[in-house]
Amino acid sequence: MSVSDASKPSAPMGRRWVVVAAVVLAIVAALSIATVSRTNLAKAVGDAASAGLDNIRTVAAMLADRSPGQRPEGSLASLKQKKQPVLHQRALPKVRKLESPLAGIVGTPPVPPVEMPPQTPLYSMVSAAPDLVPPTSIVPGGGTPPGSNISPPGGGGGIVVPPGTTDTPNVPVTPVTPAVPEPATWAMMLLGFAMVGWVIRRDKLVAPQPVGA
Amino acid sequence: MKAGAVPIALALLGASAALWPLAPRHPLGEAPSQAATKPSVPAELPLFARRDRIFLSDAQLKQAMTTGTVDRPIKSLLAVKAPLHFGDYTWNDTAIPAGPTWVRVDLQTQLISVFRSGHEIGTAVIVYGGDNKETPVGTQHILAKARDHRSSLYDAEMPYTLRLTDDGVSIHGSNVRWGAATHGCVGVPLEFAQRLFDATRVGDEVVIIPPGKATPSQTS
Repeated sequence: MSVSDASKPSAPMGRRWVVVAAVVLAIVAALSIATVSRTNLAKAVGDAASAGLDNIRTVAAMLADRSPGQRPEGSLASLKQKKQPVLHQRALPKVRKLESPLAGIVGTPPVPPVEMPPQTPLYSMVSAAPDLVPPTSIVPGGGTPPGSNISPPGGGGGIVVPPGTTDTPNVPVTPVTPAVPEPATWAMMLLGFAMVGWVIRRDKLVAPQPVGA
Repeated sequence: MKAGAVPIALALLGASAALWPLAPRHPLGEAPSQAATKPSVPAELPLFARRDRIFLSDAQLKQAMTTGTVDRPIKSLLAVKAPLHFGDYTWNDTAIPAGPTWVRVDLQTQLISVFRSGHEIGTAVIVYGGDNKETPVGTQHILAKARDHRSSLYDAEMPYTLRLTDDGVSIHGSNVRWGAATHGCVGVPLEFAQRLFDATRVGDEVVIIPPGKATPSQTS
């Protein structure tokens, strides 16, 4: 009513206020209607999307759709299930046979007199640089390298290229494990023993609580 | 005055429209009963958990309970896109609240369904008892659980065993394949068995529906 009272004077300024107020209210109303209807619309669309066509189907039909079907009558001849075959895997021997099958026929090539390499310990030779290849896996380029008959200490399972044979390109080169552990290994092992002893000693020092107390 | 009437009418319309969202949704109290035909989408499940589910309408639920497909109200089923093969399973308990858990075993469709708080959280294809060693039907209760069970009767591994009867019929992990049958147990895929084992407790109900009870030809 105050709006109509304000428009009573019929002054152009007052009528303009009324128009502005009406336009603002109309915009607010339109926005609110749009918001509400959009919410409802989204809800309806969401429901329909989540339900889809499944809301006109029965639960049993939906369950039957995922089923592999009914079990046929005559498919059960035996109840016993076959045992799964046990897979055996035989452990590989530690050192493969060095002789080729032709060794007995052809005969082994004469081995030149052994010349020991310069006196460097084996373990330092292996661990010094990773690109140093142990002497046993050096591919002989026709002749036999010196020191090739040094067998790798310890069974590493590595493939040893026998002397005198030609190389195949994909022979894996495995580093030779030295028989004597390095000082760092010794230190680590002793440290471990010390830790174990310390733990045992600590457990003994803590008096055990009586059970049920 | 005629020139002033239009803005006034517009203003009244705008004011009433602005107040419209504040009005009560069901002013006379009869409207909530009309909502019975809508799917009962629960408010507790967030949107990401509702995505792979089919929420049942009240009509669907009433039909399912009348025909014996289910014996208690359920809210949603997992939306399994394709038919499950032997050994397949589906498990989705994302954001499903804790609540009463029960297991539905359908010998007709060779399916098992796990429900928690009315929502299906897992389903799988089963193998069940053969013709001379039939799986007992009806409502059973989980009597005991054993994670690493070995049957002394059949000398067989039965991991994740949920024992149902006193004579040893159980739900356990098994090699679910076509053409297989059990001596009465319900065999489920091993991973499903593990999840089922973790999801159920002793005392939860297992409803085993016999073949021919809820055939799709009867109910659809």
